[in-house]
Amino acid sequence: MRELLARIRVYLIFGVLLVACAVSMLIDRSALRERGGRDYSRWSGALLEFAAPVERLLTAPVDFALGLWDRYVALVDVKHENEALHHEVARLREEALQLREALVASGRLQQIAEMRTAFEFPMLPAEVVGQDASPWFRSILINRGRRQGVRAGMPVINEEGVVGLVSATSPRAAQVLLLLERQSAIDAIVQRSRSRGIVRGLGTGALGFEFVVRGGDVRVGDVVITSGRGGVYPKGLRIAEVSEVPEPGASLLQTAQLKPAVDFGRLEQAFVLLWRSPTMELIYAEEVGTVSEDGVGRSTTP
Amino acid sequence: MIFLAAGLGSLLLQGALSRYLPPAAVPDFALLVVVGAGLHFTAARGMLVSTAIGFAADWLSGALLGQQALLRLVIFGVTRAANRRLHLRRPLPLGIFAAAATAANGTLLLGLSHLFQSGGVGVTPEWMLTLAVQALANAACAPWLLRRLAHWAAPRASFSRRVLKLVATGRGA
Repeated sequence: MRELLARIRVYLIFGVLLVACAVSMLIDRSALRERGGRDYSRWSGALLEFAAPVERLLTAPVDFALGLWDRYVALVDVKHENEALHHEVARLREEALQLREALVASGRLQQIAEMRTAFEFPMLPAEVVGQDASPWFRSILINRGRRQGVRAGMPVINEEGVVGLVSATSPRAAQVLLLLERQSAIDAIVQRSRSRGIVRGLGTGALGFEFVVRGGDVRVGDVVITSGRGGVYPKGLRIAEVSEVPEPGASLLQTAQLKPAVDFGRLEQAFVLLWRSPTMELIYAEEVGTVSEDGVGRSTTP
Repeated sequence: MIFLAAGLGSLLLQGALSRYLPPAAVPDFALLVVVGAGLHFTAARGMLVSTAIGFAADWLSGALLGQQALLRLVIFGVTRAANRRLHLRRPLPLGIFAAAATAANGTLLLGLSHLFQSGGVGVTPEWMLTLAVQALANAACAPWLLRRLAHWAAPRASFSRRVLKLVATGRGA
């Protein structure tokens, strides 16, 4: 028996590892489908936790050198620019004051305040400390995790538009699946015509917008924003601009090419929206202890 | 242990380098470490190390847990089989094999993604370009990296072999 085991040991290990990989993939697939991401515990997220500071350490000297160069170049004519900006700031302050007065006078300020409450969510600034180690997947590593309130399923944006979705978290780091990833799909509308469709990542750096041809008014240059109906992203976030619309054929569904609003090649900072839609909160209800008034789930896991 | 540490370190380095270089141009050092394990390790040990490196890669990327681990395991097996016929310790065959392994890895990843995850697109010109660039980058790096790895691993291997020999002959007691 021992001899037989020794003879088939290698095949046995191979088989066990093969099955372990396949089972792990199946479990992870269903976890991603059901919950949209993974919140690692302290131990299972150790690698993610370790990767963030190490990658930051690796990139720090290069960032420092690049920053030094940028600052040096920017110093040329900085005095004149500074004076001009001071004048500009003073002028804009005066203008803002006048506009605010006008708004108060017309009674619209209250409406705007209400709209802000309805649309704005607490945002957490995060630094991009690493990119996906594989060119076949599009994800980034950020230096904010569960301790700062980040949870899987939370949207990530920057000043240009939608960046992606938090797919995994550890106590001090998180992985964000970019909009460009093949698995990514967002319910979206064209801002001008309100035509609805699905924005999908093509895995190549571009995006596709699937829309119904009949009644769908999509033109080159149109801005595509989130519809708020997908149950993941809030409404009105900028996603991309239409770069190419195919000639209408026999198919009912058409796919337009989009240019992402975010320059992913120069992504250094992003903001995590500390918000999960009611749908996501329901999905996470089992593992979330309480949901605070601002809509941020508080995980009970360590 | 050195190969495992090198594999994990490679993943972190790749992640950091991808911030400054196009992702395709960053060599897949972790894949090359698995190829190195195929050349220098016994089957059981190599399979465990390769799968561990694969799981670490899954943890640090957008892949499903187990997706890259499965492929690393397969690539380890193929490397061992190929080494019996192709003399992969020489730079040219090793470079060619690294390029082929990269192409196979990319293609199988795409296949697995289609099998396990709905949506996405098939083979596109951009995808093929990424594959070609990374295959070239890996082919160029493989001989140098694997020579370094063999060099780092060699003294420790001989040391442990010496210890085992001493224990076996009873002179270590």
